[in-house]
Amino acid sequence: MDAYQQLLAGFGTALTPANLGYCLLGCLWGTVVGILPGLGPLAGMTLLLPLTFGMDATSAIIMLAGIFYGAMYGGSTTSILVRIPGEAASVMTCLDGHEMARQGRAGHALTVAALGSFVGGTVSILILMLLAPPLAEAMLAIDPAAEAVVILLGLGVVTLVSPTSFAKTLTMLSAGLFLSTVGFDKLTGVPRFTFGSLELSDGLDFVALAIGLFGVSEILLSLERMTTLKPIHPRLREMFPNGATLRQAAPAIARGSIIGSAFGIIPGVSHVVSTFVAYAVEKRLARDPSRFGQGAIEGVAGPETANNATTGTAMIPLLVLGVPSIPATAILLSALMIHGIQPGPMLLVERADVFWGFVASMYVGNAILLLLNVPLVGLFVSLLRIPYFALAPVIISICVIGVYSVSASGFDVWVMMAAGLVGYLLRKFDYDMAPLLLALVLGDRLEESFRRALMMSAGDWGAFISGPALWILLAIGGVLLLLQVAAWSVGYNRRVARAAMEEDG
Amino acid sequence: MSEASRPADGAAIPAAQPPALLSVQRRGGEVVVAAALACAGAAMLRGALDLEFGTLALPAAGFVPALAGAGLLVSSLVSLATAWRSVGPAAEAPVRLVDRTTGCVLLLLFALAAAFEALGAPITLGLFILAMLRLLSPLRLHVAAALAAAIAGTLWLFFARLLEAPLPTGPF
Repeated sequence: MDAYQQLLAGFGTALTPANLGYCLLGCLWGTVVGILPGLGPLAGMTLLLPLTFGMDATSAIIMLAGIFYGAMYGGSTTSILVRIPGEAASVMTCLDGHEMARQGRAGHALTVAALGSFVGGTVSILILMLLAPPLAEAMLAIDPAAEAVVILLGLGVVTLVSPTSFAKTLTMLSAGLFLSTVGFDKLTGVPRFTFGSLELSDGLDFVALAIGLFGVSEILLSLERMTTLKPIHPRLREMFPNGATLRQAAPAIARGSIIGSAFGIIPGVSHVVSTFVAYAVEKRLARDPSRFGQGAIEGVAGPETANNATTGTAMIPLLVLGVPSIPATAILLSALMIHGIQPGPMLLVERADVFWGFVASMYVGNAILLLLNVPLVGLFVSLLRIPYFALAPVIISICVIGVYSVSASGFDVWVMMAAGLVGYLLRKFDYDMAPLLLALVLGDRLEESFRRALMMSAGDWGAFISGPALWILLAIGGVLLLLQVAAWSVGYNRRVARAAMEEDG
Repeated sequence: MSEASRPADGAAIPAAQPPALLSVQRRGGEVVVAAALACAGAAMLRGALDLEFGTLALPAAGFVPALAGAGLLVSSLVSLATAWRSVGPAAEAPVRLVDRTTGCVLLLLFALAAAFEALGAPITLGLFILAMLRLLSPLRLHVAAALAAAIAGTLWLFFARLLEAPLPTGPF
C-alpha cells in the first residue's frame, strides 16, 4: 500500500465517530488548558493521560495530540485578551496581540492567530507525512549503539538549551536517569533500589511521577498567584479581519510555517524558541520596525503560526526514532508504551494504522480547532471567569483518580503527592522538570541499548563512533546543535526563556 | 467600587497573598536545596556501589545507577558552590516557600493520599473538595458542602461507572 492509500485508510480511522469524538474532546480540553493561565499542554496531557488507559492506542494518541495542539491554539486567547500568556509559547503574542485588543482589534488578532495556527499546523503535518516514512526506512538499520547515541544526543541537546543553569539541568537529568533504574534490571533481573517492596519491583510509575512533578506542583504554584481576570470581550462581527490585514499577515504566516516546522524537530524548548525567532525575523524584515509592540499584525501572525507549526514536526523524532524531543511528546511516548506500542522506525512497519490514523487525525484536529476557535471565542473567554478555587480541587481529584486507576495502587498516589511536593520546592529555585521527565522516560532504553551495544562489540567503545549510520546520526546532531545556537543568537536568551518557563504549565 | 477605580477590561488583578509561613533568602534556599540533592546523589552512589558494577567493557546492573548518582552528586555540588558565591540583590531576594494556604493544601493532599483507600474514593474526594472550597473560597459551609457532593458524585459517576476505573469504594 502506498502512502496515499495509507493516508486514506488513516482518514478512515480518524473519522470514525469514536475517534472524532476523542479528537474533539482533546482539542476542547487543549484549548481550555491553553487559555487558563498556569495550565499548559504538559499539565493538560498528564492530567488526562489516565483517561486513555481504557482506549485503544490510536484513540489515545489522537486525544493526547489534540490536547497538545489545542493548547497551542488556546494560548493565544489569554495573551491577546488579558496580556497573560496561557502557555510559554504565547509570550511573544502578548506584545502586539494585546495592543491590538486595546485598540479595539481583538477579533482581528484572534482570527489571524487562528488562521496562522491552522496554516502552520497543516504545513508541519505535511512535512511529517513526507519526511517520516523515508526517515523511518533509513533508521531501520539502527543498532543498539546507534540507538544509544541518538538518545544521548537528544538528552544532550535538551541539556544545552534548557533555560536554567547547566549544573541544574544536569542535576535533573541525572535524577531522572537514576529514577529510571529503579526496579528489576532488564538484562540481568537484579533488583535495584526496590528495598524489598513489591510496588517498586516494576519501577516507579511514570504517570504518578509526571502528574506529581508537573500537575500537582503547578497547582501549588498557581495557588500562590491566583488572579481575577477581566478579559476583553470581542464580538462575533468583529472577528473577521479585512483584506488589508490579511494581506499584511499572509507573508508572516508563510515564514512562521517554515520557521516553526524547522524548529519542531530540534530537541529542547522548540516551540518556545520558534516563536521568539519568528518574531525577531518579522521585526527585522519589517519596513517600519517601530510598529512592533504597538499592535503590528505580523507580530501576532508570525509567532502564532510558528508555535503551531512545531507540533507536527515535533512528532518526527518521536515517531521515527522513538525519542521525544520535548516533554509533551514524552507524554505521548509514555501513552503509546502503556498500550504496548514502541515508537520508532518499526512503528511504520508494524503499526502503520496507528501512524497514519494519527497523521490524519492531526489534519482533522486542525480543522476542528479553526472551526471552534473563531465562533466560540466568547465561550472560551468566559472560562477565564471560573474562579481557581473551583478548578484546583477538581483537577487534583482527577489526578488522584487517574494515578490510582493505572494499577489500583495507593502507593502510586503517595508517589504522586511526594513528587508534587519535591517538584514544587525545586521549581521555586528554578530547577527545570523537563530534563528529568525526558531522562526518566528514555533512561531504561538508553541503559539497555548502551549495555547491549557493548556486549555485541565485546566491550569495544568504538562501536559508538563507527559505522555509516552513526556518522549520519552525529552529523544530524551537529546540524541540530548549530540550528539551536543560531536560534539563541537571533532572538532568544535565557532570561526571557526563564520568564516564559515560569508561565508554562 | 466607583466606575473610575474599577479595573478596565483586559486587566489581571492579583489576589492578596496570605503572609508566608516560611520564607528564605534565595541564596540560602539554593544552598539548602543543592546540599539536599548532593546528599541524595551520595546516597544513590552508595546504593549503586552495592550492586555489581561490572567493568567498563562489560557494564553490569550497578554501572548506570552509579554514573547517575555521581552525576547528581557532582552537579549538585557545582550548584551549591555557585549559590554559595552568589551576591547581589537577586541572591538576597526572599523566596516564599509556604504560606498558610499552600501549607493547608499540602496537608490536605497527604491526608487525601492516606485516606483514599481506607475511606473510598467518593467520601475522600467529597471531604477533600469540601475542605479545599472552605479554604480557598468565601463560600458558606452548606453551599460548599452541596458543591463538593455534586463534584465528587459527578467524578465518581464519570470515572467509576462510565469509564469503569478501578476506584476504592471504602467500607460501604
